[in-house]
Amino acid sequence: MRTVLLFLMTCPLVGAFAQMPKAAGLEEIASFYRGPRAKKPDPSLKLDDRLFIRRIFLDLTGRLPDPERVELFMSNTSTAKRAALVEEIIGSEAFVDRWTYFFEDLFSTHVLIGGIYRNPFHFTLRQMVADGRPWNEMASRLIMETGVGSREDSLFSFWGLGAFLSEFRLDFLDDQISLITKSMLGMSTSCISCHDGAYHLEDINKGLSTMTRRQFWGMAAFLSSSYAYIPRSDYDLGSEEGILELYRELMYVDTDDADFNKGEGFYFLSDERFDDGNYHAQSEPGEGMRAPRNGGVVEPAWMTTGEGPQTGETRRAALARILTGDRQFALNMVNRLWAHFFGEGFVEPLTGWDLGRLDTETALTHGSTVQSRNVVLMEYLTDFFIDSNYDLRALMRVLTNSWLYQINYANAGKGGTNGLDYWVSNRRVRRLEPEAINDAIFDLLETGHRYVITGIHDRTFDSAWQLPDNYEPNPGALSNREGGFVVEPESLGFPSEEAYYYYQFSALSLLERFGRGDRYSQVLADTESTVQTALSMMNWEMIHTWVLGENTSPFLQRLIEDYENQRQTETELTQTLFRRFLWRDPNPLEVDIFASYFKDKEAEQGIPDMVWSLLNHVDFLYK
Amino acid sequence: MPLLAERTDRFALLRSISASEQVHERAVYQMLTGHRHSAALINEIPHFGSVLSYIFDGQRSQSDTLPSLMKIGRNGVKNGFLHNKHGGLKLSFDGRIENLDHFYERPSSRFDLLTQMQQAAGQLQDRRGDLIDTQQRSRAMMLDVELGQLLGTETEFDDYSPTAFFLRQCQTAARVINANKGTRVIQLTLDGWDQHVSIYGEGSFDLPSLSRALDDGLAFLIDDLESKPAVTGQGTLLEETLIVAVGEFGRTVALNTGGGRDHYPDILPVLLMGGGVQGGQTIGVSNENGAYITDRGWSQNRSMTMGDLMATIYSALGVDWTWRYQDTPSGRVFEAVDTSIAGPVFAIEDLFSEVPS
Repeated sequence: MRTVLLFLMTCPLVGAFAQMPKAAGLEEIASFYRGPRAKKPDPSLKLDDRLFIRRIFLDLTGRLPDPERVELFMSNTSTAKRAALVEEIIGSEAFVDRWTYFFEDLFSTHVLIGGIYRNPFHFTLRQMVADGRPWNEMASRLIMETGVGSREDSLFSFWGLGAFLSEFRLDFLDDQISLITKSMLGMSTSCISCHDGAYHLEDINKGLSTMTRRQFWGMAAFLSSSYAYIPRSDYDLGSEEGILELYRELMYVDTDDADFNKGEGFYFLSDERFDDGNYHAQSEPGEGMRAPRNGGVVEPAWMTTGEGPQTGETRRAALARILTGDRQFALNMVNRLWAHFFGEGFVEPLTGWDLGRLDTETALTHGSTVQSRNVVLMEYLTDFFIDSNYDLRALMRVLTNSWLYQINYANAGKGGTNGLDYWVSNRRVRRLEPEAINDAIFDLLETGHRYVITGIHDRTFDSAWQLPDNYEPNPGALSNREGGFVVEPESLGFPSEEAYYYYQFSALSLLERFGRGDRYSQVLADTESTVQTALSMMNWEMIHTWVLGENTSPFLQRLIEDYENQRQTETELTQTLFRRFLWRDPNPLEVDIFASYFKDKEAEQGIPDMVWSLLNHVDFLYK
Repeated sequence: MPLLAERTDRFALLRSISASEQVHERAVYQMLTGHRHSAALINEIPHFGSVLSYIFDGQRSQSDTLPSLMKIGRNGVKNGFLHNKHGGLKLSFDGRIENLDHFYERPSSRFDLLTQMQQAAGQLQDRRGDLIDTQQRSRAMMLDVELGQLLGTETEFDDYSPTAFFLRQCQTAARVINANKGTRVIQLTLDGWDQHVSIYGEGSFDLPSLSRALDDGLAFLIDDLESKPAVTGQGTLLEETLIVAVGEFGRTVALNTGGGRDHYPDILPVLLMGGGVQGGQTIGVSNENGAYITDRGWSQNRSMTMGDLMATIYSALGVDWTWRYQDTPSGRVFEAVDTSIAGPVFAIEDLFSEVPS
């Protein structure tokens, strides 16, 4: 038999340089900052200003800078202008949007339900980023979240996905601690949620191979006093309004909290065996998605040290204290930020940290090698991050002001295998994220795109990075039950109802085509080039009729008029297009190609054609 | 479903299978991977068609110009740890390859320009070179007249009913199978069964409409594949093709207050036909209103699972479903069908046994 058909029937500069270390590895770290001293750097590795401003904007905001900002930067002759630009960007709203998105991707734990929990989570997280809250403080707030899930500053969504999806209380606790170790320690501990590490994980993760399922339960037990809680029992669950009322009043509570009184309410996922606030490692075959547990009541204990709550301390407060005090907490974030800026972590995969391979001595005891590609630099940056009070912006300043960040990787060749040479490589060249491609196309062509979000009726958003999850933008966000609008699109600044729908659907479709992630299913965005993405950019009707069609792009219209009225020569036109879309000047061969193409065409055909070729160019789609 | 009623001797019906999940995304994920959803491994686990694409890669010949996997409609699960080329080709809900045709009325000059720009970029040794290769492959597909005919890009249509959509998917699948150009797995999609309200209401996606779509599509496939000779020369194409019709979970039996039915994992029906399946049989028995299983109908002392169904599909294609892959990014051994969490799984051999007369 050759083929299978499967039918789916489915349904929805200050501080830019950290203090130089006194310890060993000085040379390595100095090279990271200033380039190798032993040999003269290859001049072709120098990243010019125009490519630098493109890269730094894309990495820090996911968006491209305004042309005016570019020209201002280009005309600035100060030697400190790059550091000053970094400083300017990390103080911008676009930076806040991009890094809110980063943390939402990291936690991947949204619950939609009309945005009741998701929107407060999104905007509260955004405020923490905007305020520059230290990473340890952010993590602690998430772990210790209590209160009404729909309130304005609620972070309940961090817990909500598991609370709603789990069918069994112990799975909820196990899944949630797995999420915490994965996102905050870089460790996927779910293997030992089913079985001991021994005889299973020796070839996979030395550290986890020495840990037991009971140690995992000890971690989950830090969460066992927390419940999704419904404060009363008289909701009209036969009506949609009654169900919504329940959702709005649903709380996240902690039985360790002296102020909490269960009263008449009851727990979501209620199960009297587990309602006393303890982790009872006791389950029957077929209950939940893990092998049966048979360990009695398990006390909270940190997996590496056995440390538990102090007297008078709630279990989750203890977890927050111990977790954020663990060096692995800082190492994880350093590794993730390094991967963001350099395309690959010191440790890969980012959730695959092995505590048995952290340093040479530990690795040797396991008969293994060190996991990190550069222990000296990684530990140095981690010291800096801790010393700077887990200040994410401070760490970003160090990374982006380094020599290593500011080289032209496209000219670096394959690179070496050791030390800093590994990073001086064209492996750093990457395709833009789906959100960055979306924003770049519509921003550069000045189409005026703006988006609406479920549950918000009083404002619009102008970037894919401002969307709280992959179900947005939502073309139905302004609709009412009668088939009309809660708020007319025109009153929010949309030129027409047609434009309103076009903006939403075109962004949804473009983001999907380029592989946006799925937080609900915890799938990361795809940045591979596929036949589908290539065909979309080359042939998709939207690109041709709406983006490059007649009278759709103010930028194109202006350019055509300038050329027809002889305000730009053909050579100037080519340079304008290259600088705008590829962020560099054309080389002589490219000038000839464009000149040859343009000579027998009208401007209104030739210019959109040339822009089309640039939107499909590797230098537009890659960074 | 009158058309299927006339063809009961062609298909078998499983009535003793349960799903493990009752949330769409997680249940679909399990159905397409044979694995429970795990946040730690979500980006590593491939679609089962990607696994088969990898396994069959060495058997492909020069005339195999189509990818081993085609996915019509949905593309939620991708190639995981396997190479991008095993991700499969995604087709639109109407069974056509999206954007194969260039919308622009004078495409050749634009493409000439792009080709010159690609050449001017030189031989790029980084990921940008992959894009240029992909663009050139895509361009070759655009120029492939036979491909256009196979994937129905040359036929315009304006009927957007589920019946028309699904029938077009089935017609595309039949053409691709008959063309024998290397495709081994085709995933089709008939959406709209999430009928929490007004399941018998009047609309394009009520139960009668979707049933009609399924009836038309499956009957067409049976008849079309049965009318064509097998690639091996013995028997028909239907005998070489396993057709599986399955949802991610069942629906509650009683109507809710909105006149709909909600998610229900305990029991769901599965139709199988072709590929050696002995038609005219049911396996397993449910109670009178279909709420629970009363007779499992097979040799194992438990209900059938999605894992068992997946093992059956692998087995029918001649692939050892205990196949394992060691070199994953996480280091964790990948099993074609997960047994580490779900426990042992078994192919449903009774499907292929002679039905007693």
